[in-house]
Amino acid sequence: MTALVLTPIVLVGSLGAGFLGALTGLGGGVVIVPLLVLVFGVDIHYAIGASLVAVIATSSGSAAAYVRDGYTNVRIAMLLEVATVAGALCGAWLARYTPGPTIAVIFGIVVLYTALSALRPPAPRPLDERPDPFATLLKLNGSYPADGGIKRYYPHRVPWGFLVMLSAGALSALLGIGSGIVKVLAMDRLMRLPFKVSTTTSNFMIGVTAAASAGVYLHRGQIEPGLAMPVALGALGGSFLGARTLPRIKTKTLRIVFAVVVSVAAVQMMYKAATGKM
Amino acid sequence: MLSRVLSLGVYAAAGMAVLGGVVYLVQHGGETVSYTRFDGEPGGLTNPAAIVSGALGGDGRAMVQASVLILIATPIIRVLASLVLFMVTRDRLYVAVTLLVLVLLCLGLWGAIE
Repeated sequence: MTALVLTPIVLVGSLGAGFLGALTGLGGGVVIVPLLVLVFGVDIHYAIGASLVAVIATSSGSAAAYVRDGYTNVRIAMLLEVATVAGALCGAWLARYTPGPTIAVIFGIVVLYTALSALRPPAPRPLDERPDPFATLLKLNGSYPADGGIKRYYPHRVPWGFLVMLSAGALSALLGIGSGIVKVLAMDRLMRLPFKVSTTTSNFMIGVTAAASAGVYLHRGQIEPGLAMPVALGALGGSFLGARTLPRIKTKTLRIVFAVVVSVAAVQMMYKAATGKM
Repeated sequence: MLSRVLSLGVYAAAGMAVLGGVVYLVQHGGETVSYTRFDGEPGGLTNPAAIVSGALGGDGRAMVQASVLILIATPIIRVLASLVLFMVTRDRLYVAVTLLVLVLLCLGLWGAIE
């Protein structure tokens, strides 16, 4: 295939991935990597490099809107970025010694888990009413706009959140995804942040995490401009369109369809890896 | 202020990627491409200094890599902006935390991780 033919096809495919990723809140990376590997036969190392570039672009694009809204807790983001960035450097280092098929199998497991949590969103729980001493020491208590007023919240289990964030960073680097689901898991379930705060803070952190591993991959020659250009531009355009469409669409059905599609892709990735066709 | 840094960086990178992409397709559009085997990119497309000089020399592939550099720089500049914010509010603990994040980011970008 010539570059003139491949570029527009990859561009359109990534546009669709970015669009669906923004609509469902799962991010484009979980579609872009299998799209490149399964449909275009791209080596998984190049696919991960290109996908990470798209992850930075879409995360920076959407985070810009949220910081303005006052949901993002910059202190929590910065503290946990120590964990995700350190994890990302470890993941990028590990990727060098991990064979492609092994990466594909880990990818499949993480994406299946992501799809499963998309199908069963966590029920809202009452937030903790009392401050946690350690979180207070770290000045992490915050407030956010809710029901026409300002509501305070008190994060808990900060060390546990930090540990899970280390693995979120490593998975993001190793698999070329934003791993927003793991980040939300740490902040929503463990640290008990309000859902809106955990999702926007997670989005704010994804770009920084991906920048760390993309830097390593650039040096290692895993970022191929012929792929990174259409993938990043397509995903960016798709996520902008997705953000525009979001208020006008029923996301429940869409999440189910998306979860099924990425699950099929995940199983195919694992099958291809297990049968030695990778 | 933080959000403006992010949107500006993304627009600059997207503009550069479009420009580089067009030049790349003009220069190499007819060539057959295959990415089925990972061979690694040549040195001119992996080292930031070489990328910038290649991009200034009008090489489309280097221009696309330059847009990747802008994209990587965007969140880093955002971290720098947070550093300034914490310094202004004399939040020593978070000045230290932010500096640690910056050091880790630079390790990756300067090729300290092989």
